Amino acid sequence: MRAAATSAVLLSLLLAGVAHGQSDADARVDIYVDGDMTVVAPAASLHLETDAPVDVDITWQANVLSGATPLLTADVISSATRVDDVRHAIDLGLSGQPDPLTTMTGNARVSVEKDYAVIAGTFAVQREVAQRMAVLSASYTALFEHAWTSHHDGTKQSAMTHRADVGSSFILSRSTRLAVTVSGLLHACGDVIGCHANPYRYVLVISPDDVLAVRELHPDRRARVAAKVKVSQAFGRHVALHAGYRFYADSWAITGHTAELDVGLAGLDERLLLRLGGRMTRQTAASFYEAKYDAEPGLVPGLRTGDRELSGLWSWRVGGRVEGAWLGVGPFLRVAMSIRVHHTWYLYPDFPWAPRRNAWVGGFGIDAEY
Amino acid sequence: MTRLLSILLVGALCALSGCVTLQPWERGLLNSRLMDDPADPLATLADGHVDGAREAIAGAEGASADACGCN
Repeated sequence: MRAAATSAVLLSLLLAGVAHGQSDADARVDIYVDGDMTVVAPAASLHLETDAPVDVDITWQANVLSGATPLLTADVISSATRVDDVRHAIDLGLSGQPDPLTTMTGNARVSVEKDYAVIAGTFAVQREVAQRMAVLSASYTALFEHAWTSHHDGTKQSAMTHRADVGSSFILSRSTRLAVTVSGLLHACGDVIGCHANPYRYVLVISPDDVLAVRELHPDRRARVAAKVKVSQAFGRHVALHAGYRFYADSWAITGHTAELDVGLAGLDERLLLRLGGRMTRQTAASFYEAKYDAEPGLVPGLRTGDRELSGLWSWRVGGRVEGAWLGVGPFLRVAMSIRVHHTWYLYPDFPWAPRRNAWVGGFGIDAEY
Repeated sequence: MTRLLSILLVGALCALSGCVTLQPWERGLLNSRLMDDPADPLATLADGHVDGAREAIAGAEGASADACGCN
């Protein structure tokens, strides 16, 4: 909470110095807790509309992670390995309008952990059409991952992801909006990074004479597609409904369905906002997933994983967020503070070692508009 | 071919929007915070990071821009 407040003050001072037009600074901190992990996640973002022909967006996120994760080893079926890590990610985006209906955006991202780094670049175009009743958008992202680890003889590996998104948002009436998004991702993975690979994860191999732990091995390519439809409907000035559905499929035979529903309530001229919502996901297992492999040591399948996240799973999330806003605070047009909490139940029917997980997220945020 | 595609695109947009055009002063509700989706982009970014680690599903997280014609 103190990190969010400090970030907000620093961002606000910077914002007040250079911004023109409607600029915005956000800062927040979230805490994620489940049975295995605790993650403290401070974040801040700054949107600057300047006198220059481009607008600037800067976002910083960090994850301070601590806990224990299950690890299969050769002589113990499941033990816990201590995990402590810190991730920092910075995004820098520049956007401009070559004409009043078109916006072009370039974004660069760098994310660093102690044995892993990501560099990504995105180029996006969006255009308002049909007398500004619709927005069409397209983007391409190239993402480069690199890992270096003291495990497995100091392995160094790289992986690449290409991602394309096309989207459209339509105004259907004074109170109804429809959004459609389609994504395609192509991963070229290493055997220790990319595509959920993990150099520290093993599969359990049970033969008549022995029980062994063998490193998991994924395919080196993965193609993924996802499509989402979302409708936002206002009922007067105080109630709105947001409902969405996403279909997912990939070349590892995983299919997924995600449904989400949010209800928004507004009072005091939108100075008090309440959002209550839920999300449900159903995912099938990867074709090469097994909780354990019954095989002679020399006959273990070439592709194998015991990753819980690649097994079939269900997840249900419910939560809420409340925001209070004040207008005309010092140099700011609007200052808002929010708190949120949500709980997610995960169910892994095909993972007998730990078939359930319960996760809580709580967060506090400050938003200042200049 | 290009002309046919243009006609089809305009027709599809027209069908979805009912060929109704709203004036700027009629779009207040669409531009309200009540209709913001997501309500909190920074929090949604954090949730997306969790979901990416806890599930094998990714992509189509949301539209990159909402139509409101408010500029």
